[in-house]
Amino acid sequence: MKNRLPDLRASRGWSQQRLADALGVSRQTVISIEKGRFDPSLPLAFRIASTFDCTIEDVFSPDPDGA
Amino acid sequence: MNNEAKNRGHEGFEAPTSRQKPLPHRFGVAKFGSRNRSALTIAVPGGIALTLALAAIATSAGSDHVRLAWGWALLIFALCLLPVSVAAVWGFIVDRETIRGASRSPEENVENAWFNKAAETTTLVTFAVAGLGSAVAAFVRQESTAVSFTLLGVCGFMVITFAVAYLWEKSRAA
Repeated sequence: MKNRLPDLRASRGWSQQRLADALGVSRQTVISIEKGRFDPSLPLAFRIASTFDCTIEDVFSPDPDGA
Repeated sequence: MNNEAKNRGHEGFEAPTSRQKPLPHRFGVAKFGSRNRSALTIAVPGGIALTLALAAIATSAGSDHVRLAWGWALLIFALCLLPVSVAAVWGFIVDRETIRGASRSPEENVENAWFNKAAETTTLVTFAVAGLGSAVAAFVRQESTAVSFTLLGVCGFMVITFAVAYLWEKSRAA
């Protein structure tokens, strides 16, 4: 899955640690999601979307390459 | 979803607005009793009591040599069991959300995914190696081996396999 997490985080000027604290997960989890190497669970995806006041579709989109 | 709902984010999922308060105890507090005391204040005496009980059982169930030198045997068993017992009691009583630095949703972390994959790999590799080992042992003439040593070997192999598999998953994500 592709995601806009780095852009959304940068728009707020948040560090990865700050976002990780807000979401209640580890910094490594945020790093892995941003790199597209880890697909978050549905509850975590909802929390990410709520954190940035948008919908899941605004943050995540299917990767055309199927990765 | 309409615009109003979109602006609010997803219903039922509140956007966190502030960071967590620092927790007072590095090793958390117990699930029961006072919330102001560190879990270690229960884990250490509980672990010592458990250690003495297990060491006494191990000494009394040991061989004649062990029973004759029961003082030394009790001391050695106790020294070996103390860290494990304290850790076991702590793990049983601690409220994990109160451990300083622990994330609120550990099951949603990428580390949990690495753990699950490593556990899966360990299970499959252990099945394969144990099967091959059993086949080889059936054809090779050998003296019988103590069950405790065999189980110790299997446990050690699983621990090493798990560690390697976990580090492999971690390095792939880096």
